[in-house]
Amino acid sequence: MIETVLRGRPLLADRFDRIGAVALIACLAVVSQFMGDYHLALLTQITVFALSAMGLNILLGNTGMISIAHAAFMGVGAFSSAYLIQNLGLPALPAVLLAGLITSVVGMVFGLPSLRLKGVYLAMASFAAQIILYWAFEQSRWLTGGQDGRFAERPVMLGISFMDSHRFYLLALAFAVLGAVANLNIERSRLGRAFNAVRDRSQAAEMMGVNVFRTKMASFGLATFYAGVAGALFGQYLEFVAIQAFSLSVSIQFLALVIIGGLGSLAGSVLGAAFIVLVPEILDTIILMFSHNTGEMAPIRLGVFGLIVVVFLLFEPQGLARAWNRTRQWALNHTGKGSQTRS
Amino acid sequence: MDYFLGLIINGIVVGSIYSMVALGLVLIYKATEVVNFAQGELLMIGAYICLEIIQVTGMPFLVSFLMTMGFMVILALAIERLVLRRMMGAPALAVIMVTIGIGIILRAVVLGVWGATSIPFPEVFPRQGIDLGVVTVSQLYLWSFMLSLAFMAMFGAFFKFTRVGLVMRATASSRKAAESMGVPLTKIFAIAWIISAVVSGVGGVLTGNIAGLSPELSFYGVKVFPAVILGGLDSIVGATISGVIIGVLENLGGGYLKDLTGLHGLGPVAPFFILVAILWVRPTGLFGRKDIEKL
Repeated sequence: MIETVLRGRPLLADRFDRIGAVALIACLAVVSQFMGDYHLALLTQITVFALSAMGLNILLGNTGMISIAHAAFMGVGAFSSAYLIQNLGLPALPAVLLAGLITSVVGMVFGLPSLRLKGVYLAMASFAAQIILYWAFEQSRWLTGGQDGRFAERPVMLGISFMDSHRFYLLALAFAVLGAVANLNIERSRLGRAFNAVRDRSQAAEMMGVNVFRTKMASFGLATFYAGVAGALFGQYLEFVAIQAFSLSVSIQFLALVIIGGLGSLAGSVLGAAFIVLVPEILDTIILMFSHNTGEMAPIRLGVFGLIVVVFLLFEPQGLARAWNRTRQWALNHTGKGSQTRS
Repeated sequence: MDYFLGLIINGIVVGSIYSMVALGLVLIYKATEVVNFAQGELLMIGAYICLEIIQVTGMPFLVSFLMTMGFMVILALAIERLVLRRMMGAPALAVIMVTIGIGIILRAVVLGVWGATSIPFPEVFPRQGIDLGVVTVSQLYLWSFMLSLAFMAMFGAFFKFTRVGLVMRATASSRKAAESMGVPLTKIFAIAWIISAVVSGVGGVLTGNIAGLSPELSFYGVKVFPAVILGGLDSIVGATISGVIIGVLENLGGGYLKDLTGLHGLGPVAPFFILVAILWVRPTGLFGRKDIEKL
């Protein structure tokens, strides 16, 4: 775990990552334009979830704090962006960013006790945040439409209309790429190292001049900013925001996503998002092969999801990111190029 | 006045069930430093299993109740043996997540076998009221209250007077010291899980009797979180007292705050406001021990 920072870390570790990242983004941008509606819908969902997961991963993986309220924070973003655009007539781009900021403030309020709390206590505090926020959604009909939900529209940003699903995907991808670059930059900055120091030994970090409280607040603020922006995009993509999309079980899904993907790893956030979106779909296809009773689907889905979480924690606690790193190492060794990698 | 007393009594009854389940949660935490986020689901599955035994075998309630407890013991052993024992020493996040995962699996089983619709529990205790002079209380409530008291007394006696209880207290006060004195930790952990699952099962059967069976039942188990935080996560006395406090506050909140604030459904959420407030003001709770962290 010991890292010396002499020259500062480059944004991406080596040529493999750099070429890989650019190729992946280009590939997604092009291929998505030829996709059918169903596959495009899945891809958009993965992209938005990945953006949201990056935020949670800053909190969970980099700073070592727990939040069981990530979905509720996405809800704050989704509803406030819809409100800003429809009721206050703000243009879409500032509205989405402002929604992120609002979420950030709400997140930091619930993060306040985190200075004195850790581990299970923090888990409970965020658990309470999830339940309180969800209840607040139910009560605030003016904001959320209550149980009926409210409409959100596809945005026009920088003069470009993203009404079309294919175009909207490019928007989501752009946000995700920006989020990823910001994430990598934060990781290699002073703040990112402070996150890790607080995670590994908060007292030691404090002695070395890291302001633990401010660092923890920054982590909460950043994590919930990601959640808010991702939530806003999610609502616009669905063109409809319902409170049920931000329930406790969705928050748990996000926790599972980050753990299955890999804590503190950008690749983990992306892989985890793909996993959490695709597995239920694949599972449905398999179930349909054996039975036509769709009523059985939900419990089986849920049960398999629970099993996957438990099995991952028992046998691959570092998640898909480690498997990805192994593959990457193998590829590097076989091309003979590239430097030593960081974990 | 009757309304007020009714709310209080209702709160005490529900609160005594919270106390009992909270006891299970605190017990596991003290012995193993694991907070069981599947407690609500354990409670739920206990209620469903009891119902199933009554319906399938047609046996009297008492026998079915005992069989349910037997099932909870086996379930606890399986969870401890298959999963939690392997997670010893893992970071808090991983352990929390693994209990959440177990909870999800239990919930899936309930949804798959019994479906999501709510099922009434066959009437075991009559709901008819008994006049206690000041106020009339449903017999069902009286029975629930007495049963949870009896169970808590039983566990109190177990900890106070038996050898295993003594060893468990020793483990709770210092795991390292207990281990070096030759306490078989794995056995103690297993017993902690068994006790916790059994009290959850009892809690499930009682709340099932009062509120009927539905997957929503697991929310009752979740409400012991505010109780244990209020009392202090490592305090058995605290859990017992604050379970009742939370029950009463929840009922008063549901009964009065609605008229005062015009907000609906504040009752079930009120304990969580209390939880956040306590974590802000006094994270160790009313009776908890403050541990000093050293580098």
